[in-house]
Amino acid sequence: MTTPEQPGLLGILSGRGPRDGGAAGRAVSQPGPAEPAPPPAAAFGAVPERCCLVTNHLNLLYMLAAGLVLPRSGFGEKYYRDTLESCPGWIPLFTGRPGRAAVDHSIAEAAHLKPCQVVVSLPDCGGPVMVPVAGGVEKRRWPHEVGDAPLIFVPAPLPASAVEEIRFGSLDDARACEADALDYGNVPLANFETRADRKRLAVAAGPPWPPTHVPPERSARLGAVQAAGGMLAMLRLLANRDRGEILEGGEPLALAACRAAFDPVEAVAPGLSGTVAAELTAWMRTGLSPAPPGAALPGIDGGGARRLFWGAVDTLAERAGAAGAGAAAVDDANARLLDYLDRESSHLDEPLRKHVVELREKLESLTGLADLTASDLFDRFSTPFPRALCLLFLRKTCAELMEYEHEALTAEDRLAAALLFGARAGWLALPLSLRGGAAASAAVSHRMAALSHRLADTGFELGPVPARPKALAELFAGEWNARQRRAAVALARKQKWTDCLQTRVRLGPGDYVLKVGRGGTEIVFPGEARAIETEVDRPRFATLLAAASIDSEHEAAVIGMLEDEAATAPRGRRRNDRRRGGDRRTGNSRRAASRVSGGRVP
Amino acid sequence: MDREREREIVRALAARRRTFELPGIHELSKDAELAVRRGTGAGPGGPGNAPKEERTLIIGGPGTGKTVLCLHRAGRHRRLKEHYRFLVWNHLLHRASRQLCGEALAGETWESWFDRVFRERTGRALPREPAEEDGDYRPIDWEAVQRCAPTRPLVSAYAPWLVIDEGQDMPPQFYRMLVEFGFTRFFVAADQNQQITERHSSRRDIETELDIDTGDVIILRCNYRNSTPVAKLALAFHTGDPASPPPDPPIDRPGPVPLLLSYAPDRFPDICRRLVRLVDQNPRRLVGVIAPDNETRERYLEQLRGVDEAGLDHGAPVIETFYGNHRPDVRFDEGGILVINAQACKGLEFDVVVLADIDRHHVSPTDLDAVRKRFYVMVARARERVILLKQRGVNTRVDEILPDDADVLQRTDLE
Repeated sequence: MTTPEQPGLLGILSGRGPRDGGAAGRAVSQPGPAEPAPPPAAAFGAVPERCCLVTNHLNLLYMLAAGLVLPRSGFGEKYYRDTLESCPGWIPLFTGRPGRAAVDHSIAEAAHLKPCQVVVSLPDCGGPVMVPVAGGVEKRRWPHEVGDAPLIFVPAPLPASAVEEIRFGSLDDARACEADALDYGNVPLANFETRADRKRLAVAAGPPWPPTHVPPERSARLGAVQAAGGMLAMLRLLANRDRGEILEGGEPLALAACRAAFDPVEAVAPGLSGTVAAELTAWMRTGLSPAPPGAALPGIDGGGARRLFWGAVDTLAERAGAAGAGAAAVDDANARLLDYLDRESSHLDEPLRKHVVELREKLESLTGLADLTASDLFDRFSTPFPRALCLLFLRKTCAELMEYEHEALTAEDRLAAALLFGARAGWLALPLSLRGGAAASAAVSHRMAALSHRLADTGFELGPVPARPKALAELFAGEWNARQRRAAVALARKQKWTDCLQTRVRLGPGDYVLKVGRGGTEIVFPGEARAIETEVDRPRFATLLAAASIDSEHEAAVIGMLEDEAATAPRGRRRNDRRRGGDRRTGNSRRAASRVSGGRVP
Repeated sequence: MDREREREIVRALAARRRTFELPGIHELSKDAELAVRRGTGAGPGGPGNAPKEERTLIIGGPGTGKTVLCLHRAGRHRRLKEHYRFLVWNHLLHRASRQLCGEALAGETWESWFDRVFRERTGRALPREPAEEDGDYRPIDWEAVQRCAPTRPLVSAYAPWLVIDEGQDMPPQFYRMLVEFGFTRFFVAADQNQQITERHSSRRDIETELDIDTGDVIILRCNYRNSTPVAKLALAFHTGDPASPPPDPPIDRPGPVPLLLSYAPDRFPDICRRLVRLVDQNPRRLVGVIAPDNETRERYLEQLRGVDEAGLDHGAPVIETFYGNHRPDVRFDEGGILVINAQACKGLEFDVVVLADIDRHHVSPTDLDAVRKRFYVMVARARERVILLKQRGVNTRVDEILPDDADVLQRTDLE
């Protein structure tokens, strides 16, 4: 159902919603006309600057890994009782110091839990929240109608990028949390400020817990949200390698897809029309394929294979980011895909049906003792959808896909595969090395939370959308300036791409002595060299960049060299920087920068 | 060699590379999370823990992630700069864990470590029994060991953490002597249903020797390694020891149903070609071909190594074997095929397990449980899938222990 307030599919395909509303998502999540007119803001007192969620450190780490401040349902079986338990679908935020009862409740389940506060800053957010009042809870609008309410219930989730600080009751607890975070490959605790502050953790006379009245339970479709996060991450990685962008001669398909997914403004993004990713923007706005299973997709040529592709994305997105072991989750997802192909084949016209049945058989044979190689499969299937599915059955992780090379694969095959792998893994399952730096993570986290609010139609606005993280290929595009040259040299050194580097030594006039020895050659001359410059062979650099896996830390450091530092820092941190005027980057970010530049860049 | 060629080789090697990567937070169960932290510096108590906090026994069936947990725990000790030793049952396991975790892992086989500690603490050589008939290995003489009082007991504050994997395979006297020598910090993972030695320890033995209350034992109940079909097949071989309950099979993790493939002798080369292609499809995949005896192991090894590499995407995979004193540099951090005997598979983990010629397994006329236990251990090595191979038309008593249910074991002939 499409209404003027909810653009829905029609509005999205016509590109109306986001254009009208500015940043992606805003127009869709505007509250409907039934919303009561707000009382005058002056009636509610001061607006709280920061609020906090009371939890324990292991739930906190889980939330940071998921990129979202999650509701209870987002944890699956891996949940330790905390304040989220009392209000499913909502995030209880204390506007002042929480009571001891809430803290005690959050660590009661196990002795090894440490209490903590997740301090979020929501100055740019707005929309309906629930507030406890005498005899129940009442809908109010954040921020101006909340006034001095000690507790508010915000519809979940919130982006992890809204987390401004994490408070512990003691330095020991903070250190324990830091040590625990290192036990995992997907917890970016280093991206966040931590602080030990016993006084602010709780007061004895704070609000009681659990509260007498809570808002009614609400659900959130977090699978699609996690899948979207995984897809965004994969598209960013793929765009990093878009050789065409650097050389201004190729087809920057991956970059076009990356742009469209991060800022899904157009109904069909330029550059994606006619490709398997044509429906990417629609999916990123709705979390669903544009046509339901079994239905034809009107107005799109060759829609059968594309509909199947996006149906496969939906199938994977159902359980993306669910708690469980990685390998088992992959098997599970692949089995569901086989079921999906089974179901769908009955709706297809004959030539496509036959093709899908054969594809399904081949995929299933890969789970046994098949007499097949990857080349055999790519010879048999020449289009992106079946090839992407074959890759999905041949490789388990996103990292493996990014490392995989085969001469038969086209840019579109890789794009299709990247989308499926991202949807299968979800943001949660991505190791830190594939997530990009803090800025890239913040950009994804915000979009995941915004998508969740759009899907649930909460009307809660998350504020300005962080800028899309620019891909390395994009940052190295165009005529290179001095900064780009320096960054290219630094990256080439870090990646040991010595065959794309050459050094030019400018000397003044004079007589030179060339000394050739075992250890190399020396040129001896009076005075000093005028200049020593390290240069990058640009086509070679582009080729190497297109084929390389670059660690997140190195990538973030190079991007830091290419962009203004302020533009790369996450929103909360930029605000802190401005407020405090100091370098608030974590130790990790600073170390990464110094490692890449190494003091050697001229 | 030009740069491009060099880079291609590096890429090809990288495509085979397997490493132990830290799990995601969503991959570790709450029980496992507790176990990893218990008693460590940043865990409950930390320095100055109660002694009970420093003795952890983990019980879990195959697939519950005991070895991963031990590696994880060792990594945590390393990060916290806590002195530890990671002790494993045999050289193969030691090599596997070292390669997956890197040289920084302070690990060794329990027996060579104990040999050294015994010398240090008593000033004497470790007493050993005479060599067994079929080899030069001399088992430890535990009776003599127990008569040797330590002359230099450890100061407990300097005692390292001992992280012991497959703890059920070490004898009770081993634990008794450790306590006597002054070791106080233990992290032991065990599964009573996977004993492969005659001098093993029961769960009760370990609890008694290390003074661990039964209520403090952490039981891992969830199978995190196998798909539901693989777990179901393993369960079909479970002998039902209540001291070490099998893990609950994962309820909703579909995967390929294990396959029992019968082949005519002339199709043996075809079987081996398919095994090689299994690795070629994903060169990071490690396939364990587990043979019932040396003769079968050699037969498979020879045929697999003879497979023509023409038509493969990634060239010939690494095919290696390991038996007795033959301990080549088997790489567990690369994909390939490892052909081993059943006795050597303990504690290892493969993406695909192929039980070669199951009809050749020796079955004691009075003890079917022994062969069930062997199959339980072998099947549970698989992460992704299990394939059982037998020669067509050969029927043996092994058939009696195979489940009939086609949902648990699918039977097919290689046409």
